[in-house]
Amino acid sequence: MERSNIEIEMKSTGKIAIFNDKCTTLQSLERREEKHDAKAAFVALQIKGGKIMKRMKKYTALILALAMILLLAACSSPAATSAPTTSAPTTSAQSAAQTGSTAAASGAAQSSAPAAGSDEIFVGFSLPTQSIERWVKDGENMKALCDKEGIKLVTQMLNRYPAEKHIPAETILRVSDWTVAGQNGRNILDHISFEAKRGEILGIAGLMGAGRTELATSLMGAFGTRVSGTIEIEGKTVQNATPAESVQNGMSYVSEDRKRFGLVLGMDIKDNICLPNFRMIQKGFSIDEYQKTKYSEKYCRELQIKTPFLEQKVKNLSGGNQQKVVLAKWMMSRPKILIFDEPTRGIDVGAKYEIYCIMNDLVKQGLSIIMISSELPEVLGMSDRILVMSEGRITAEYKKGEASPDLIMKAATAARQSM
Amino acid sequence: MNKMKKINASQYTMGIALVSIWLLMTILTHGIFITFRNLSNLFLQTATTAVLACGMVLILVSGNIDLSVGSLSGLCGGVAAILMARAHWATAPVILATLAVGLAAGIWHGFWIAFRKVPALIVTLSSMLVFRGIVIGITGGCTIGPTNDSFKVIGQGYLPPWAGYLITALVLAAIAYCEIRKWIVRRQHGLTNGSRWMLIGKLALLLLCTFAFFLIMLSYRGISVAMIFVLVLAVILDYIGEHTAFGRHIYAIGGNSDAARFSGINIRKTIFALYAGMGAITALAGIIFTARLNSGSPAAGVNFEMDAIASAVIGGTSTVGGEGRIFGALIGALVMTSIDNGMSLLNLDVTFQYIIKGLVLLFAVAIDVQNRAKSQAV
Repeated sequence: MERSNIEIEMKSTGKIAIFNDKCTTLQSLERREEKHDAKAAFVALQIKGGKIMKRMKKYTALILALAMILLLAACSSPAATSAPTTSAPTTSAQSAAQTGSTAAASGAAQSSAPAAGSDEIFVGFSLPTQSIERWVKDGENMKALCDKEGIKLVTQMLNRYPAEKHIPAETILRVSDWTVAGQNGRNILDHISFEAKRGEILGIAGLMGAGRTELATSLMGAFGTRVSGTIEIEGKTVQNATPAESVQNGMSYVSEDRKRFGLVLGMDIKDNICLPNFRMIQKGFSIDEYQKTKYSEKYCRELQIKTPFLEQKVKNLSGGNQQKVVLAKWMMSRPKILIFDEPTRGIDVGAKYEIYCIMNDLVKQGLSIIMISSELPEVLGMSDRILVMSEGRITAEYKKGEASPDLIMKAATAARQSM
Repeated sequence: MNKMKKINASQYTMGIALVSIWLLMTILTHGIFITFRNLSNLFLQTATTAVLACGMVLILVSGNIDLSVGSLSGLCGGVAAILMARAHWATAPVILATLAVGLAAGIWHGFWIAFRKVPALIVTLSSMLVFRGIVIGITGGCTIGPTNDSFKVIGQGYLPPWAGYLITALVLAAIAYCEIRKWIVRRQHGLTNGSRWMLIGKLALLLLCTFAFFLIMLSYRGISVAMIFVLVLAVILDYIGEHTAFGRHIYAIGGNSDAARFSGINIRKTIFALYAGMGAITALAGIIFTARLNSGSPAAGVNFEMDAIASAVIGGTSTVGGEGRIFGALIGALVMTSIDNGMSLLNLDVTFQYIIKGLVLLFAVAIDVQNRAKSQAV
């Protein structure tokens, strides 16, 4: 971004929006007091490392040193009036020095809290306002901030869903007359037919219990042979009798319960990423450890999986990082069709955005993604086409832009009305 | 760094348990236990249990169990003895035939467990009874012997001294090479690594223990042939478990079979192959045992499965699957056999032998579980 653009933006809206062209989107919201109140300013940061970190460490070190000296002085002198005032900036500076944590505004809040309904994430700390002005006005510094290896500033999400124009190509999956029998004579899935195209995100919306997860798992072969209907992948009819066959045929499934169906919690990141992909990294019978590490490093870097070392057991990772490990696993195996079931359930906003960007990347590389989601904004924001399911049937199909929450909800409850 | 500490800690607790049991036995037997002769015999006695324990580790890691190894090894031994003593076969065909019997039994297990989805506990429990019945039937209730001289070598033979020294040198060199290479590769990739001093310390400890191990055997009658079988099998199985897709699939199936299923692992084929292999390994244990006793008896192999499972679990294998190392099982086998050996030296009643073995198993695993829970933030 040009320096002039930054300044113009800043002047007009009082906010700065800086976009990078990749997933490490840097957006910063600067909120500060009026100019004449130069006591403190809050900048919302998600600190990743780099120059800001060094600066903060410098300030923290200075403040801590100062505090120590003052404390020593205070202890040696009878009056202890300076102690309380030094402790406040110390605690706030210490909280600022914690890396990577997006905690709510810390106790040293001195300016008004952000508006209630916004998506802002704060690590509150105080810095001399002047240095912020210097940062902000200096386009060079902002460019350094924007640097991919620099800081990620995630505050108010001006745009939560990275909408990109996808150009769907040919049909890659055709499901015809898919029926899964249930108990008591009722069908779990009733004569479902749909298509998924290469290069497109197909969203499946609906209420819980509509049969969306059953659709995905039955297509994968988890129901064995209690199904009827045909699946055609790239024009060829396939029989997915087991999930293993389905993965071999090019259709993979990212479950909503990643701890139960997505990851072997006791194994480390490398093993989990390479679990379906040993064929790619083995020499004869044995696994090439170097290749294993190389691929794992590559995906950890691309997806920004935060871990101190690759041998970390995945049960120690956060939800977002665990989901990224599952994604890395399937990205490495290059399926033709990837079915996501609730891809961003239980994940923080920053990681959600990263996962959406990853989905866009995958689709651009020629995959077809089927996204099952209960979050209407997510389905509306990310899908190119939306299928709505209700009680085991597809009740509506909308293209991007045609759908609205009302229409989807009406279709999601349609079957009940017709009964 | 944490991971390295944890692994080292659990290995060290097993080693510490072993050393403390040895100390105790030495004190109680007034030093007889620690003589080279006794220790060398101890290592020879461990061979059967060690072979079974190595296979049992992979079975337990996959979340299953195999209770039939005792009866099956007795059956294989009985078959071998009959082929040699009554049918007068040569040694090599006998070994092949015995391995084939074990493999067939393993395939039988694999079919029921993997494809018919009968729980492994039930299948192997039934096999335990069935195979015991077959042994009693084919031996007619009597002990069959003697075995061929070339067959006896497997269980009673020792390598010539020059071979012993050569093997010792090779093993020490291999261990040093592997550890140093691992350390260098980790350093190259910038992964977490101990300092040079840690490497030297670890290497010194490993080499010292291994050298002592071989020295004990070399000082008495040399390295026994059975021990070579055990070591080769342990190395092969450890390699399979850690560095092949098949092995990683087994660990994944034990760790989380649902996730393994959706990751595209063919669970049925893997478990089938696993049990088939276990059958062959059990046959090997039966061969070693029969060669040592120079006969096949209908009561051979009783309670072997208990020793095998106890060894594996003492060595760090989790009973629910997903975790376990082959070399830990070797130490566990040493522990179980040391207790047997020591109590025999003390002329203890069989009652006490059973009670003490059971209690040692319980406490060893309890301590290990407690250590694990402490080191993990649950």
